[in-house]
Amino acid sequence: MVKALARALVALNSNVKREQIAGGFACGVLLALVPPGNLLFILIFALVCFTKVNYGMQLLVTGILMLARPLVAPALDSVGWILLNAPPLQGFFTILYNLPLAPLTRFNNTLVAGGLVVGLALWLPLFFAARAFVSWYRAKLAPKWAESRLYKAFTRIPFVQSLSGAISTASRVAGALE
Amino acid sequence: MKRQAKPAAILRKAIPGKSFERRYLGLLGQAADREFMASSFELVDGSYRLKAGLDDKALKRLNGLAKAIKLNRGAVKTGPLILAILLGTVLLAFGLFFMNPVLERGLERGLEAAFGARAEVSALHLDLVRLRISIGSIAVADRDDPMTNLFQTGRIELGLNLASLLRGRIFIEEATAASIEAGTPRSSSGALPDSSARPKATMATGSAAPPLVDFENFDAKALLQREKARLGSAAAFAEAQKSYDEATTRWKDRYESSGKALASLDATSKKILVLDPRSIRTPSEALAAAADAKALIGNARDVVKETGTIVRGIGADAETATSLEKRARVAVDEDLAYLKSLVDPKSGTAAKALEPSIREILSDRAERWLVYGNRALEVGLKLKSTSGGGETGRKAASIRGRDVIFPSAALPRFRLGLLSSSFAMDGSEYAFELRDVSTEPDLVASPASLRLDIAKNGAKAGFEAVADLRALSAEAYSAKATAEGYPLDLGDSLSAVGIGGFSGIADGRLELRGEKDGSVAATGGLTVHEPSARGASGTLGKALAEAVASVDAVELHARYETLASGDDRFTIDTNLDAIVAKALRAVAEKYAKKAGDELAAAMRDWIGTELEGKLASKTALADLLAGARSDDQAAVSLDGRLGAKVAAFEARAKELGTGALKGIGSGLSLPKVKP
Repeated sequence: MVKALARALVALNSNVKREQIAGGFACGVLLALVPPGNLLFILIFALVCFTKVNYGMQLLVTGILMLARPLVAPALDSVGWILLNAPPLQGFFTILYNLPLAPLTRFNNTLVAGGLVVGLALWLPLFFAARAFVSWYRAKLAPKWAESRLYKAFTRIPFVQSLSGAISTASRVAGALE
Repeated sequence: MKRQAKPAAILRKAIPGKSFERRYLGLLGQAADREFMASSFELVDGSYRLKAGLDDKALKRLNGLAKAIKLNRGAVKTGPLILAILLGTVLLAFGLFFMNPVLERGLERGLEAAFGARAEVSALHLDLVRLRISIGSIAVADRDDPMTNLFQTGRIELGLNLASLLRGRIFIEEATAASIEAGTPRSSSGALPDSSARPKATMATGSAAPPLVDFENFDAKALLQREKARLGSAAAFAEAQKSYDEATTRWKDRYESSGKALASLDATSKKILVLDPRSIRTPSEALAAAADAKALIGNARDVVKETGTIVRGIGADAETATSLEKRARVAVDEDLAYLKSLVDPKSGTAAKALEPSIREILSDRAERWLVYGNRALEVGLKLKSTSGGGETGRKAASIRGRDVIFPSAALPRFRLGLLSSSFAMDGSEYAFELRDVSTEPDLVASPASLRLDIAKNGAKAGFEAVADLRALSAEAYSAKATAEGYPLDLGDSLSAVGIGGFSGIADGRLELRGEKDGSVAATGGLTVHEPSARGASGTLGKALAEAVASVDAVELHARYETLASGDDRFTIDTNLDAIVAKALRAVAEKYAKKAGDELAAAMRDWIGTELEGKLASKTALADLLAGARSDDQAAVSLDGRLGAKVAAFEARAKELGTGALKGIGSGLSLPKVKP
């Protein structure tokens, strides 16, 4: 988690495209909402891995939100139940259920269906919101924050210095990998 | 000398104006970096070129920015893609070299979970191209008998259904096994560390049948001695004896005490009783004598009361003891009848002695089939219960969510379409077919079924079983078995009735039916042609052997039921009764009357010497009762005589008083005498 945090901070404070960071954020939310252990999760994860969304941000958001998943599970279950039992969609789901590989996605599970629908519905709003936040952060917040006394005192804390070193290392590693 | 930094390749070329704005500056996230890069280039003939004379620090910074630009270009990461390809290659290699052992262990664990005992799978090979699995052998231990295999197979070939596999289901369309054996011995224990053998359900045993009597060497006293523990006479006599003893002890002291009181009263009363009223001369003497007599009457009435109580008490106790004695004598008659039944073939005792042996033979075989039937049902239900991972109803949300099953998705998670085997073993030809075993029986059109045919030297046996675990079916399983021309050899199973060996050619049938509530009903029939009894010993054994030889066939119909409550019932209907009766009729004519007489004599002797002696206190109690009655009569008599004396003394006093008045004149008055 510390590594993910370090990589996310590196991304925010480097030349990583804001769309990549915003994509990482939105994909992180989507992966946190869809339960693992099915083909759908693997497909989304692979998609995230092979595209240039920011991995650090995605991992950080997924890690944090996964802890909160039990809290949203009842809501996701209800959404999934309503969706899977919606009469107009019965024909579609029945066909889908009988297609090869589709059942392996476990789309017929209420949590999977609910998580996917909610995650997809939130994806674009979260993407644009995160992109706007990155722009605002880089233009307004980061310079003020860097000049503040609090930041300077903060950077003198030994743990933060270690973290800074880790961020630099992570940045180099990320550069080598990407 | 320090070498000058060289600009990155993408910075050395001329960059068109639009491209510089979009593909260079546009890909830098930090405004300061964008400004620095813009200031490091100059516009020459419509294209941007790196300014000359940039220092080493600026070039290094530009090179860093060039790296960031490269990273921000495009949408696909090549690094993870290459990693994924590498990972796929590794997985493929793993599949080729290590997947089979992993699957082998997985299958073993699955079988161990289903059967609750150790399972061994060898030489598993999965061919993903042809979708076939081959297994060298499977052995699953018997949970309740860990040194025996529940079943063991030879080589198995499985064909998987691709359509089901792509839908996340395992459908084994067809499987063939080289051989299948049940009950084979194991070299090591098949018990799992954390599981224990379940206690076997004990078959209800009938009442213990009496042992058979060998008439040829009949000894009445020995038989009586052997059977004494079963006889009721001794206990009944002991009870009567106890009653007599207690009654005698209870009343003896009280009787003696009342006798002494009576003797004392008798002695005291003699003086009054011998006094002649006519010898009294004065009224005052007569009145004093009457008063003395009245005082003695009070004592006499106390004695009468006590003797009466003793007589009634002893009488009641004697009556109780007598009734117990009568019961003891009835028990003697019953015991004698029982003893005679042991030597009377018509009583059915011989048939009762034979029944446990037959029952043991039949229940042993039937129980084995029931064990397999129940185990199959248990495994089926376990598979069924573990298959439904999600909920289908509108229930509270769980952390795993709920699976919505769609109507046409009629594919169970696991289905074995057909497992067949045809093989020869120990000179017998076996044909085996197992169909439609599934984790979701409701999604399969037909119930699971098993067919087994065995042929050996012209003999045939067939077995068909159906296990219906579908929700709407009440019946759990049913089975039918038929056998024709099978040589039957019971070995020494009938040695208890004096037959060393029994053999014949058997035709049989068995129908088994189990309900989901756990109740089981089995009916079976067996006809043994050309029956032969060998090694006969004892009167009954020899007679049975002769009788068996004289009939064409031994018929036997058995029914076994286990109720849901756990109670079981086993009944046998057979012509063995008739055979036994026939065998023993001659024996009865020859031996039974003599043996019965000898038994009666032995019984009389036993009663006379041992049991009757126990009733010695009966005489004592009778004497006690007679003495008490005598005392009671004496006391009553004394009381009467004393009463008469009182009347006589009072009459004399009256008489003397009247005479004195006549002599003195009429001026005197006499005191009134009260009676």
